[in-house]
Amino acid sequence: MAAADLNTVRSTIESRLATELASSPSIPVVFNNVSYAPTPNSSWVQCLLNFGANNYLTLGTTAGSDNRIVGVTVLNIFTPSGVGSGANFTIAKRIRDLYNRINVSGVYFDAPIGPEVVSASPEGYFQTQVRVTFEFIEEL
Amino acid sequence: MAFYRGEQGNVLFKHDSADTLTVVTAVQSWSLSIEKDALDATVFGNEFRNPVGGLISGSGTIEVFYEKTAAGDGKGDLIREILTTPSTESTTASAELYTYDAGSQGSGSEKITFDILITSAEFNATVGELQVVTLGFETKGTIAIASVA
Repeated sequence: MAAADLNTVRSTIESRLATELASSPSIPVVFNNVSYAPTPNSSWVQCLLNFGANNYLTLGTTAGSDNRIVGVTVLNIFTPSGVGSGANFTIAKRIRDLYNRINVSGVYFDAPIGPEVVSASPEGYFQTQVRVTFEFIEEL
Repeated sequence: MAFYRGEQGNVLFKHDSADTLTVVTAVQSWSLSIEKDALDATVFGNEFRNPVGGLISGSGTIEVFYEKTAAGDGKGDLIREILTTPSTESTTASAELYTYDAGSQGSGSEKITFDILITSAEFNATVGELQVVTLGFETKGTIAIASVA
């Protein structure tokens, strides 16, 4: 075994979202460190992935041992303001279903948190947030 | 002076004397408690109690993460050892608990060795957690603390 490639974990998580939101009805999705100028009165999703506090899992040093790698994917869902929350929650359901207690390529997703209504940033949208914590076992 | 951290340890196990000691994978922790009976040898006229050492015994636990195993590999044998029936217990199992593994138990490693009787196995499945098996054991015969030359 080898140390985990966190970029592979990131890719696993992000590509799953990109594939889903590319299907009809397609919705633009923006990832970390990507510039995006949203079209007014449109719907779009921002995906922010972060790794967190990892820890020892098993005995052993640099070989034959395991670490627990944890992280969170924050998904901000933006829909036009002033037209209710239905369209936003419809997108949120697609996203929840995508990760809800699923194991993809060794990445275990917990039950999603949200969608929670939050203050829109950028302004001019109705925004909710879905957060999905995940866990990956690194086998050294 | 060198101190050791928990992750520098290791566990080896073999089902019987015909096997070879094999590393048990994905061990979360081990513990060993060694006790010596204190026999009272105080005699009339003594003003202070005067115990002498009696029998020495050991017991402890090994916590492993459950994974698919087969009889014949270290963890597979360890998990299945609880099901060894008394009629076949003459095939003595043994274990080595490493406080320090210098690398594949090479020179400089520190270990505690003994024959072992697995006395309990608690399988645990909790939502959101990795499944853990906690194995309780008692030592059989001599317990030795040794360094790998």
